[in-house]
Amino acid sequence: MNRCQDFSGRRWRRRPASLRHGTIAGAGSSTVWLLVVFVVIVTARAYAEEVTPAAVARRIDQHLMPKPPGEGVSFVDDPAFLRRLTLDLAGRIPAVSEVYEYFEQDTGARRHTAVRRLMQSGIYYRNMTTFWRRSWVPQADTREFAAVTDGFEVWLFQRLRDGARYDELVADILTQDRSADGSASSGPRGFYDANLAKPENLAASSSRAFMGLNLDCAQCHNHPYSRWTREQFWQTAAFFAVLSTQDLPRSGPPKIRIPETKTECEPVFLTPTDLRVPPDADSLGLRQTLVAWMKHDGDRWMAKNAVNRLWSHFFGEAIIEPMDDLSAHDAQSGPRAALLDDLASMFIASGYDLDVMVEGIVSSQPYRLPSATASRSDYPLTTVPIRGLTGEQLYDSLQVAAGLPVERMDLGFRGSRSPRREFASRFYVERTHGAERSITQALALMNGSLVNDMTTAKGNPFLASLLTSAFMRPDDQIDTVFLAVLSRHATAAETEAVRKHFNDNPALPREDRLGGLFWALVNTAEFSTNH
Amino acid sequence: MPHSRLSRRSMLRGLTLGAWGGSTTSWLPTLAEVAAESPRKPKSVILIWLNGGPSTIDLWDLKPGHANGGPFREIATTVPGMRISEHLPNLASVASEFSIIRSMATREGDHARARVASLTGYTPQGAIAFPAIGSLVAHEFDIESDIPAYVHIGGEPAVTGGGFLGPQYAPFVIGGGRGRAALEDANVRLKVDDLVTDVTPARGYRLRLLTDLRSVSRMPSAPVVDSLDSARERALRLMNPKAAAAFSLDDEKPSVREAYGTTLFGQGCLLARRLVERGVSFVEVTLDGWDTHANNFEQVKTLSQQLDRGVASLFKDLSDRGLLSDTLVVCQGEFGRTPSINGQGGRDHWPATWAVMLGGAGVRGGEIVGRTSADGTRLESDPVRTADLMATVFQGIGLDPRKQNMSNVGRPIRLADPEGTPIKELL
Repeated sequence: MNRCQDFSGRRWRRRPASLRHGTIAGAGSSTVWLLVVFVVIVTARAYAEEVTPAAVARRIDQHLMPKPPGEGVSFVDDPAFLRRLTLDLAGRIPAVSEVYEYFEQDTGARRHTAVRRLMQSGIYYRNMTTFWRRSWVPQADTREFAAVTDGFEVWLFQRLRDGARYDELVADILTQDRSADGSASSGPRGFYDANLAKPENLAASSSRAFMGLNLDCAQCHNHPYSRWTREQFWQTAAFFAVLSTQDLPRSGPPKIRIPETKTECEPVFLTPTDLRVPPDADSLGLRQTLVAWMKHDGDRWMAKNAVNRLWSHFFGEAIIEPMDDLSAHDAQSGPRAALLDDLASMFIASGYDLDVMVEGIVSSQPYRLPSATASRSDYPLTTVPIRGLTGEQLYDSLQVAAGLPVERMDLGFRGSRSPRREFASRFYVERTHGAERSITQALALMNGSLVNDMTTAKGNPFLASLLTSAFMRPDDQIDTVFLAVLSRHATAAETEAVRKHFNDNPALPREDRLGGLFWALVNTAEFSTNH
Repeated sequence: MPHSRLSRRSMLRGLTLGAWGGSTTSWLPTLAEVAAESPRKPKSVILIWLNGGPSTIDLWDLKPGHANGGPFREIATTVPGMRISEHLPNLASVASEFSIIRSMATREGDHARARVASLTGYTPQGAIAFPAIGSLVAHEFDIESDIPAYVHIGGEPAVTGGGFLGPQYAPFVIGGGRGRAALEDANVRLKVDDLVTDVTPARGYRLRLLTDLRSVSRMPSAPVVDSLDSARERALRLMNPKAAAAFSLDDEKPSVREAYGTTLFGQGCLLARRLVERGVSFVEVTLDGWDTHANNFEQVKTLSQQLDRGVASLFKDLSDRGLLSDTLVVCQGEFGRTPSINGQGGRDHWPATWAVMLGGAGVRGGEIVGRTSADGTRLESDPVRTADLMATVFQGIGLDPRKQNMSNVGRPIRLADPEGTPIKELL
């Protein structure tokens, strides 16, 4: 009995009889879907020239900033913008030299100059590697899977740096040849490893990571409020079925059995489509078909999911929350849905060019709004959420503040064993706009060796150079520490407070006084947030 | 506004720290005595959390003579009629201190969802940030102390923050959490990293500087900022040597440490006793490894031995020190396991019929609540839901389960889901 195939009562499962039974010959159907992929690519390429970062920024402004600036809307000042931008693009605060350089530039052009400069640096791709890896393989942030994805990050970094399109990355991950050499030092196989190569894990993770759809609950039962059925879950899992060559030639598509039932499911797409699964498809062919559907799907979930997640990188909160439930009923209409729909269209038209979307977002007016509480405000926006720094951002920012080099991904990458990864793991945050600091983390930042080494000239090149600048007035030294740690000048009240403590502790060596100031500033909430 | 309370408290603590500024010999002297051992009045809860879903049919509700029963035998306890697993002999000898609920019936069979439901007492609803029971108890008693009021030992809390109660009621996690290498040595894992208690002049200077800089900071109030400030302030208070001393297991006699078992769990139970002794409101001690889909009996036997030694010692120790009448011990996981044994000699997830053990403050010992069928698959008495268990725990420690707190969505939420009723036989 095959309940899985016979069931057809629900809206999203209804499809033509010819599809249900897979009657078209394998070679013919392969040609059909290849053709569709080709058409999609050609169409996307034709539009590619029209979508510029400036056009993306304008579109965002039209959605979110209907009023001209000045009418109840204000923007952050330029130093605050530089810090926000550098944290988002490079994953670290600006070095004190970058802050000085920025101050010296023409105020009309320096924001744009900073965007271009940061996006051309290798650290931008390293930062986006961390972001996308976390979006796609969140398991790697747990102890159990920390190591299996090192190769994934090396691979992703290289692909992003080489200008790979988003749709190509998704295809690379889902259609990799799993029989290839498992000892390869880099490659996307970490996605399979983190999902234990199980069809059901891969189905849930792929839907969540690449489509923004949550099928997890449907794995075990039909959830009363969920749009997806248990059969649909296993039909998606069937695309990842492990096929043995002895099964060939098969009479039809491969089947996967729902555990503890007699129901067998064959691969069926989640939404109605003209694509079909070639009945003789091998494991690779099945997954290629799935990727083709993901791009071809009329709801454009793949593009929407990418834009939605990317948005959350720059604003904390995504356009649609929760990010893995894009098919939810109340995510289909309203101003948020309209914005996401528009941006997804532009993303597809750009040829899935992530850099165009990134530059468009950081060039938009909403990106320059002042930060305030994390409470969800409806569009149009007037403020953006204060975000906690991720563990990686915090580690790299500490290094930069202390004048130390930031660990590079392309040179001597030490993966999960590096001090950076160890630190980042201890300071892990799931979502930046809801970041929580624990007592344990606070203790580490106050008393741990990493920060305490930075309070001495020996462990802090920035401090060392400040101490040798004997000609500098004390107030200027204080201000320089603020610039290095908080990327802004000290206020009059802050300078006064620090001066008072300097005077109260005449017996303390200058190294301890300035080192103590450095320590105090990295322990402020301001340092640990992107605001 | 849920966060205005935090801001007020933060400010107060900031002022205290500032006022203390002149002294460099001790931490926060005005608060120090609170952390000292003192006659305690408010109640505490120790939650023994059996992570993964314990096979309670092999612990508290055996089915000897039935195929579902497996190889374990039952033994008699000091309570006539109460029989438990042969691998819990020490607990059997203190059985009059605790009761067993054999009619737990819940709905969630997924680890993550069941954990959240068990710990908050509520099914997730939209944007409401339900706090864990540990946060609720800490918030209700609101003990002024330098030791965090809610401590989680040995695992990763399923509910990490303080929910709508705010970050100061978030669990303080030791011996577990993210980023800790998988160290087996209990002494190393239960040590609080980076807990510095001596104040050099340089440390005193920079702490005072930090306090003053916070007071002139222009950072707006926001949950992320409040969480950072709260964590730093609670960490500073923990650096009070008297507060920090609560965590030094080396102060215990070797014979006591030995009695609890030298495992992470055993020493965690001992630490829990030290904490409730010092007025900590809620302590969770995790014993992980109960997700026994395969090879159930071998694993449950080993786990039972750890559980038996740690928890029996805890009951005896609390009782000897006169603390048991003020401390409620609850022993449970997120669900039970299938009465039927699968092909790998394992048992799978099973929320329909399972058991909880509890004893101490306000709860009658030596009782058995509810009954399951001979094969263990059905209840032969009224089901006990999570909400009922929650209501019983709150009532047991003298809190009104119907007490309301304002949630983050502006809707008042009761301590326990109002659908729940306390179990009369236990109170």
